[in-house]
Order: sequence, then structure tokens, then C-alpha cells
Amino acid sequence: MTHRNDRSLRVGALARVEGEGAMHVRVDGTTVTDVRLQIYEPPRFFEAFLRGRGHVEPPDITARICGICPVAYQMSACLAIEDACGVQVSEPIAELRRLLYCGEWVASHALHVYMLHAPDFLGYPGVVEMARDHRGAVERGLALKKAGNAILELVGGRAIHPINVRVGGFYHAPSIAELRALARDTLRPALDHALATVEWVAGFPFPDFTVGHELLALVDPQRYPIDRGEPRTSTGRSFPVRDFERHVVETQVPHSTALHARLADAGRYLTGPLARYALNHAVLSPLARQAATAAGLGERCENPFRSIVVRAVEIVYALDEALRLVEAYQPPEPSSLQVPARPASGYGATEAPRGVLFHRYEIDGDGTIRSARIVPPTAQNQPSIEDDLRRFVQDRLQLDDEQLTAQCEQAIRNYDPCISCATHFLDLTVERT
Amino acid sequence: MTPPVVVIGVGNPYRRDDGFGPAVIQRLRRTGLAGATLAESDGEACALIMLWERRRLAILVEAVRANPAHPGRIHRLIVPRPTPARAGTTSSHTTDMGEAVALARELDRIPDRMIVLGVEVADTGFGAGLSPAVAVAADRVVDEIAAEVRAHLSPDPR
Repeated sequence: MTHRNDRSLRVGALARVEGEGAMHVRVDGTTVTDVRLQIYEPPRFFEAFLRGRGHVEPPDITARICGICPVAYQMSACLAIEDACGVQVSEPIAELRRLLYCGEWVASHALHVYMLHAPDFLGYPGVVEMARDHRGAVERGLALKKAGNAILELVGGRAIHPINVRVGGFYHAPSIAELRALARDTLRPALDHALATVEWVAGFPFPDFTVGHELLALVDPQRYPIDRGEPRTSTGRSFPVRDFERHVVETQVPHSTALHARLADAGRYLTGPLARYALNHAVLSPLARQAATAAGLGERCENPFRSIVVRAVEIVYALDEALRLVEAYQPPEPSSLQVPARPASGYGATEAPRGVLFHRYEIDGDGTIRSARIVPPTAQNQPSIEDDLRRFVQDRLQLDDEQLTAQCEQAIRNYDPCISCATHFLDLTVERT
Repeated sequence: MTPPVVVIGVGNPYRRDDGFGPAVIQRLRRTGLAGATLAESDGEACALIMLWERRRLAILVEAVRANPAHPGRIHRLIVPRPTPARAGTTSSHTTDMGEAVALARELDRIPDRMIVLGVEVADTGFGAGLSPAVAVAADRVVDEIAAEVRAHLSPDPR
């Protein structure tokens, strides 16, 4: 209990997050003095692996960074290489990429909403225990995951580390009949499950906690950003993707194998669903906007615990958008463009399920990659997650260590951190002295 | 129509002997196995449940660690049975086969019969390829699976 004045909370290995990491919170008397997300998953050296490889290899190599969001890596890699080579793919190829990406959003968000985060709100240690009392909900989550995977398998060749993506387009374009069958048999029923998901999570009990972080998301005036857009902050600054590294500064900290990121002129910031929604809700599809309104989301959601509602709305959007894309689909002909190398640097950014994912490649005239830079969303969010935890714990010091630790873990899961991607994460430690 | 049997090789072929499951599936693909779906998986729970639901028989092939280890020794586990207490997981997907089975039980998505074939490993370091003893075990497991599937699909199963 809290009869001690000084204490520390330690979570040695965080559960229900992607990857390996820990959290350490130190409380001196009545003040939280230190919060550290300790990402100890070993550095993965992907940027170094890429040096010396051919310019058409990054989509296959970088897909291996993550089993949950490989498409994000493939898409940002393709955009960056094509930018370097001065190639812009045809609109049908771009639209097929967006459809593939919709599949990843549905699969990733469904996994996080149902399997990883919902048990926190309903008081279960995990999804297995939750399934005993909420079987219908878990069935719905599996159906959504399956729908996302179905898109990934049909368009990407397989659900994990898709093999059909190449620089310039796709090795093979699915037929109209295949996509229409997918829409009829899988995506339309899944859209009903997605709408039910929004209604379900909107009724969860949410801790009273708000944040005022600067936000960073891609913005596309025409539609919700997934596969492209221009970086913009919540205070209205926007910049071309090629200037990303001038505005986003990465630094090393001793307690994390993942670099921390800050905006050069604004410090810590947040990327991901809350940022995307705040900057782009106006271009959600009417159905997704209606679901958001019914769930009580305003123009901006500042309670990170309600990010689960935003993710649910984004599942609705991704399925709605996938159905639109299937309806309008004409197989790209050809399914890919030639992308001859030239000596140049190229830049690409897309919206991974967890936020902005930036790639930069410098290539030689023969296509050899001279340097590579990858800035994943979880790395960008680390300083904001630590700041959230500092404030969250400070207001809840009356809780005993077990309760406080559980709530801290839930707070971390608000950000669906992908430690494997960032290390390039989680155990929780709270130290009260 | 969904074949009544699924054989799932779980593991990472780029971590030496952890690629035991996928290596067995590749051998089965070369020899052919009528009546069965052959699948590789990283072990993520939802994906496993989707693969084995509505099947009469699911055979899971997986690498196991033992201490002391006898590389190549094969373990055969019939599921359902009480799930043994598990060591803490550090899976990057936060779920493991035990959790997949537990969740599938709650949702009545367990096949009529489920067999886990595990082989003790020698090396789970970086790189492709099985260590010699584990490669020999892969050939034995292929024969065992083929016999199991044939017996299961036989019109007169004994």
C-alpha cells in the first residue's frame, strides 16, 4: 500500500505489446522523479543491412522488420525508392497498394483492440479469460482479423511478410472476380462487425486523463491518410516528406535501444491514431464519421485511453474504403512499372497502423544503396509515452503498486507500441524511495 | 471444400532449428499429402485458430527447448488435455500456441483431434538450415505425419 513514501514500480517484461521492453517508474516521496521506457530488445541493424543491397530489395528486406505491419514498411520503402528514381506509379497501382494497406490496418487494429487492449478495460488478465464472458465479442474480433488477413493474402500473396509487392507495383494483380468475391463474402459482413466494435468499445469505462501533445500525421486533402500524404503538425506546420529529417530529430538515450524523436521546434509529439484522427477526421468516409460521432468522438480526442475508439473507427474506415476500392477496381496494366536506378536520394512516408513511418534511401547509378534511414512510429512516441506515464502516475500515487502497475501497463498499451519495430520493448518497474 | 486435415509448421526458418516446423511442411509439399492443407505459421494465435477451425484433425509441428536437451528427440502431445503451466512468454506477438489452444477451447474452435509434434532443438541462432540431428528428425516426422493422416482419412479407421 501507500504507507511508504518512496517507492519504485517495476514491470520486468511488458505483456500484450509487440516486442520486448520494460518500464521503470521512480517516486521520491510524493513526486514522480523518473519514468523510463526501457527498450532492451537488441538493435536490429536493418539500416546497415540495407547498405550495399540493390535498390529493388528494400520492400522485401524491410517487411521483415515487423510481422504486424510489414505492408507499412513495404509501402514506405517503395515510395522512397520510386522517389529517388523519379518514377510515379499509375493510379490503379496506387489504389491497389491502398487496398492492401487497408487489409493491414484492419488486421493490426483488430488484433490490438480485441486481443491486447479490450481485456484491460473489462478487467481481465487476457483475451482467453475475456472470451469466457464475452465470447461474441471475441468471435467478432477474430472475424475482423480474418477479413484483414484475407485482403493481405489476396493482394499481398500471404498475410505475413507479403510477397507480391515490388518496387514499381505488384508481381501479379488480382482479378476483378476475386476481389468482388472477397468483398461480398468477407468485407461486407466484416463492416457490420466493425460498426459493432465501435459501439462496444465506446461503452468502456475510460480513466479521466487527457494529454496535450503536439501531433504529427500525414494529411491528404482528398481522403484519410494511409498510403500517402504530407506531414503536418497540430499547430499547423506542414513540410514535404523530403524535409522530414530536418523537422524530426532523433537522439539516443541510455535506457532504450530505440532512438527517441522530437520535433525540432516543438519537442515531444505524438503520431498514430489520435494524431491522424485530429488532423483528418473531416475526410473520413460518411459511415466512419457517423460511427465516430455516435461514439462521442469530437473533432479531437485527447484521452489516450479512448484511442481504442479511434482505432475501431479506423477499422470501419479501412473496410469502407476497401469496399470502395474493390468496387472501382480495374486491374493495373501493367501491374508494375520499370524503376531504373539513378544516383539520387528518395523519401517516402506512409501511415502505419501506429503512425507515420518514414524511409529515406540514397542510391548509386547502378542501384546500390549507399545509405538508409527508417523512422518508425513507436520510436517517435517514446518521449510522449514517458510523459504520459509521469503525469498518470503522479495523479494516482494513492493506488497500491499492483493497481498502479496494471494501470500503467494499460496506459502504455494505449499506444499499441511495436517494440520490435522501434528497436530497433516491456517489463514495468516503479521505484518508490 | 476445406480439407479435413491441416498440418501447421510453426517457427522461424531464419533461426536455425526454430525452422523445424516450416522445414517439415516443405518436405511434405515435395512428397505430397492428399487430404491435408499444409501451412506455415509464426505461431500468432488468431492465425492458428483460423487455420485449424472446422478441421477434424490438426497436426502442429514445432521446435521445443529442453534442459538438458537431446537434439532430435521427438515429443508427441495429444490435445486436448490440461494445458501445462507455461513459462513466461517473450513472444513478439504476445501470444503462443498454448494461448491459442486455450482461446480456441473457449470459442469451441478446437478440431476433433489435435496432435503436437515437437522436436528438441540444438541451435536457435541466426541463419537458415537445421542442425544434423534435427534434420534427421524432420524426415522421421514427415513419415509419422503421412501415416497419421492416411490412418485418419482411411474409410475404416481402427
